[in-house]
Amino acid sequence: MYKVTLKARGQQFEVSCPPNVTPLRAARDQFIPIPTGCQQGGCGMCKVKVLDGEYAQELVRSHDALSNEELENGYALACCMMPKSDLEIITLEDYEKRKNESNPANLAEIK
Amino acid sequence: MAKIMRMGRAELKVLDLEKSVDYYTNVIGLEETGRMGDSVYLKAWDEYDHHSLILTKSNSAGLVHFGFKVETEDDLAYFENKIEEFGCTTTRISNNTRLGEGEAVHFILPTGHHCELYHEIDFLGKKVGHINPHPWSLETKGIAPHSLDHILLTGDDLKTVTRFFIEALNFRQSERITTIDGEELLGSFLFTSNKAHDLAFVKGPDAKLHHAGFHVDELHDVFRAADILSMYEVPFDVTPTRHGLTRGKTIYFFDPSGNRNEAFAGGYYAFPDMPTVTWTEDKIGQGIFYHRRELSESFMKALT
Repeated sequence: MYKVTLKARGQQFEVSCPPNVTPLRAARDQFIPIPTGCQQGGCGMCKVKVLDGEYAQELVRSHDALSNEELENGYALACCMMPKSDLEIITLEDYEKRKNESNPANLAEIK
Repeated sequence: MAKIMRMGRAELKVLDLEKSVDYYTNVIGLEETGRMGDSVYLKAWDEYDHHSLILTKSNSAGLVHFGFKVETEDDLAYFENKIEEFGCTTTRISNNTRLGEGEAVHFILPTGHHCELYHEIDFLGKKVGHINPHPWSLETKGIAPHSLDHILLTGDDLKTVTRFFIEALNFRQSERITTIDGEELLGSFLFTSNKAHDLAFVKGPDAKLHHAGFHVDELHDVFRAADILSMYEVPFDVTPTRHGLTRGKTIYFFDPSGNRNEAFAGGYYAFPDMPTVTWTEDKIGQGIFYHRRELSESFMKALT
């Protein structure tokens, strides 16, 4: 059983995830509100950035949902990946928000 | 008057062609009618024409094109002019570009979707024939819908695309979703046959597919579809319920590439003299899902 730390909806959740179960399935089974769409690797709603850990991403997926470039840069689809170690993942929405917040240009505007 | 009869075909992008063919033949229960290149052609048992669905292998999901069948060759030329007059560019797709098809008129909608009109397509007939036919075939598999019913697309400028279908293609609007003040159009349901919708748009990103709907008879068939989908462990979006819009009975689920499918039953007969039914944004939950009365994130945001 791996521990998946999931940042979603501005919160942090801990998900117990068996090695043959996707983080999306594990999160949903534990009533954790992970963004969910087609669950077939087609729509990209469950796209996450992997901040830490090893995983295997199913490669047959829509390249609109997860491009090769994103794949190389540590993005994954939570519906069709398997953990290979404890994982730390963040939803695309939260990751973008975090990037904007840490952007000095945006901080200057807030002042 | 020139007439567009119905939505006759849709071409979907699929990620794994054989897995998709297996799903569309065994779970949905369509019949494979031919193959050409990276495409597989399928029809429902109650359709006469060569195909209503084309699956084309791609590295993304979504809609390649969809086509409406017109009643005569003259209608094709008539609508070609009307489309040009509206300001859309048309091109002719030549005979046999795809399997079993004659010439088609191609154009891109103001929402970015590729659309065609056609008249000529090979006639295959139904399994039950058309002389003293039985009401249904014993040889069907899976959900076995009668036909492809409609598609729902997303786009930004719904007012222009609605005007296009009404002015250039003689469609009518059966229902619409608007902001409370009525200023902005958030959903537009259009018909050319007597169905409550042949095509619909909801506000969203351009050129995306929300779902392709297949026609089944009754609520019982929607429920039976749900059973079959569970047997095959197909991911659901929405389990059986009723729509406020169109009054149809419905179930939503995803094909192996994440394209949303619907098994749709009922809905009223639409006639050209009906007023457009309006749903205001504050009642949209009830309009879309009559029982649940609230929208779901997956239904609103998962697109291909």
